[in-house]
Amino acid sequence: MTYAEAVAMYPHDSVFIQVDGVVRPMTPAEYEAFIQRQVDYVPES
Amino acid sequence: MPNEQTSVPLFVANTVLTASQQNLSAGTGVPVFATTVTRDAAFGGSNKALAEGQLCYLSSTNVVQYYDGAAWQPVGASAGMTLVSATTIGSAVGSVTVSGAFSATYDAYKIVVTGGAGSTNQALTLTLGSTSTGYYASYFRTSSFSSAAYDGQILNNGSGWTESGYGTTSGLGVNIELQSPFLAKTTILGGVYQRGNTTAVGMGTISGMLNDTTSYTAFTITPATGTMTGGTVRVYGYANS
Repeated sequence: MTYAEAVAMYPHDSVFIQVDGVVRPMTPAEYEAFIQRQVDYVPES
Repeated sequence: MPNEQTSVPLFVANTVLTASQQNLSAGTGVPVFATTVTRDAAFGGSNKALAEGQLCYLSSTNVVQYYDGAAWQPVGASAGMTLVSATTIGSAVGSVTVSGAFSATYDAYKIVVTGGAGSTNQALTLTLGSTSTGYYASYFRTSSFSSAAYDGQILNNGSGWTESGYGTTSGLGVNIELQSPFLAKTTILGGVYQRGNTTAVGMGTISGMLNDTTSYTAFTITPATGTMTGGTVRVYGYANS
């Protein structure tokens, strides 16, 4: 998945971070790490 | 609560035993306290001295206790495993952190995730605190779904325990044991998982360690890709004694 594809699939306002019972929007750094994780992901065979 | 009391009167010679005192005694039998604080304050001084064999009931926790001469103990068998926390996973979360999971109360823990779903089939990574290095593990997996009989895999100084569980579009699954996450010792991990993706190897075991002696109180579960929605993260502590 390319960076652009990841951003299109997971817009910033559609993904969240949860700490205990609190779900909040991702910070820019967290979102960047999240998108990079999608880009780097290699499906297992 | 009508039965709750704040003292355990000590009666001495030539004093009046009042109706209210007698009613309190007859009404409770076993003294009833709101909390351990009011319980502890009720004994000693001008009240009855606390001694071995004393019983009480705590309305805040609905338990009966006895005093063994040194400390209050629960009546009945002690639980070998206690639920520490249960966290309901929200919608479309890229990670879920459980803080305050580990403490001095327990040396060993079990982490279980059930229910919910992933946005896609995905492995789940477990990390402790904010540590992102020093994770080691070995994996052994057998197949129920494909021609691959088994495969082995190692994690060498990874950024997290990958494949500590799996999420699929029909459910999340984590079943991990941790030894000594709170102690200033190396943390040891063991667990099993079922992989829901029927195109690849299916069931496996993981054993691993975190190569530091940091004391951890929190952990985070992160999907390798996509997000998680719903389900519950439960943490159990194994009784030390």
